[in-house]
Amino acid sequence: MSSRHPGINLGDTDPATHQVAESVVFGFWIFLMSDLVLFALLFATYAATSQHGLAGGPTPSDIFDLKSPFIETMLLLVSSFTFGMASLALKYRQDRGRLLLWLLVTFALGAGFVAMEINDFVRMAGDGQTPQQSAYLSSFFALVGTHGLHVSAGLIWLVIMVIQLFVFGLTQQVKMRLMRLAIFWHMLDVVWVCIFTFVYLFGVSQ
Amino acid sequence: MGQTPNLNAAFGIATMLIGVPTGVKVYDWLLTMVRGRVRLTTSTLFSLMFMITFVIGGMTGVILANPPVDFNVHNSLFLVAHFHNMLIPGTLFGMFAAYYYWFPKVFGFRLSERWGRISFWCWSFGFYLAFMPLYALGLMGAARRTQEWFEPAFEPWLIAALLGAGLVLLGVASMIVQLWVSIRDRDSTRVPGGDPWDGRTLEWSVSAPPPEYNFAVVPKVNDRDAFTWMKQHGLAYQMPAPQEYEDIHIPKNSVVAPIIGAASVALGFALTWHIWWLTIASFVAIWAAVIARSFCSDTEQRIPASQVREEHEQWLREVSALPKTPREQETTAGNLGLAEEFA
Repeated sequence: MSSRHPGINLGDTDPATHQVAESVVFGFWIFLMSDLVLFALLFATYAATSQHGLAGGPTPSDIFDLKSPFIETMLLLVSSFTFGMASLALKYRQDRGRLLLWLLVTFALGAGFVAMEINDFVRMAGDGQTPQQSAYLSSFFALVGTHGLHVSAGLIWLVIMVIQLFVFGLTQQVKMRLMRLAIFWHMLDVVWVCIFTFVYLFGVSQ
Repeated sequence: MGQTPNLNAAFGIATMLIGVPTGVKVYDWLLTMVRGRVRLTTSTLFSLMFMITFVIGGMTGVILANPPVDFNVHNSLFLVAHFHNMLIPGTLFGMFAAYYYWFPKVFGFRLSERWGRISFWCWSFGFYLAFMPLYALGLMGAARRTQEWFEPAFEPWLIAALLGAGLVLLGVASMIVQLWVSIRDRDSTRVPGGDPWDGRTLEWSVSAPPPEYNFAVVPKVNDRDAFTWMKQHGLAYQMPAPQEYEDIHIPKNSVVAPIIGAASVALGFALTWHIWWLTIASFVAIWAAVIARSFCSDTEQRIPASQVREEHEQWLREVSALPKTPREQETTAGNLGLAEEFA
């Protein structure tokens, strides 16, 4: 059985699930594309307002330092790697133990990311940098906040999958849900790389 | 619009280009009636009024595509008249036509034709009376979204528009009355045969309301209008051989979708009016329903072939006892959902 859809394929180890996963994963990719359209709109809004929407308030280079975003980036990149390890455990191992371990490590890294981001937002609000300040800050919180909400949703999803691993075991349905969660998680990583580059690196260099 | 000449040119050309596929669609709709015997039932009346009114709105759209004209009527009631001219007949009248047409298929009884016609005339006259004056007002310079006017020349037109709005309100009221009357009198308008309008497509070949699995056996399609072809070849309502029935797998009924729908309405309402406790409650309800659903692994049901066969054969026996209704009498009480062959 050949590997077809993007992401990890179960063709060699679980052909029956692979057969069903084909259309399910394809459908999820279409969802991800529409989600990326949302992010594209937020990026475009951010690009416009970071030039023309400052309203006399702070500019990008005023509000960013790279320390915290860099640590967040590392947390998220490593969490993508650990989810990759979870996917390999899903594909090649019959036992749940290693899969659970990698999922929990991924959860810890993702939760660390969200905690740091909330901390950043609270600090900004303390400095008076709230969404009400300018169109620029509105679009900053909309873009980065939407990504943060996605990661939080992914964390809840992770918890539910861990519960389902205990309730149902490694059934076909649970496997396919984990495969979809995996590509969701990796997509959020890609979006974050864009945010880090475009919002933070580009912001401080201006 | 008050933009640069280049932008005006782009918008003007784009607006004109919309007219091309739209014009093609209008011809498509007209051609579906060519050489047909058109019956002026409520459903058809709404379809025809939709086509006529939609074309008028389309032509004022072409006027708006001209940048010098658009520059003058931009943000005026002319624009308001134009897009209502597109949306009300273009969306609403089409949906009304579909509502009258498919209602008996979904619920098993016909809607009151009398109240349907009353609502049609109220809607149509009301629409023209309400929105045609807005074209004139727009050309006279009346801006949209204005709370109060001080120009005496606007007054007669505004009064005419108000009367039109009142007629539209009567149209809405008669639709509510129609629904009430139709539900009250449903025993005299039932269409168990499932084909009250001599329909051409396959949904009319099953009972009304249809069984939850839609088709007892998968129908064989030989022509574009498959059910008409079957009726012409004497193959409609045929008893399938016993071995043709198979077990049918369909999803089980679930309360999850209605919960998500109701909670979404509450969420939209709460966000609009800044009711934060309801926002949080409905958001949590939506996702709790989704998550709870993900813990249900047994979501399908199997309807055994024997049950399908029994239900289908019983319906076919019922159909064979029904009187055939000629098209001229399709809105009368004698229409039990079995259409007479149309030569």
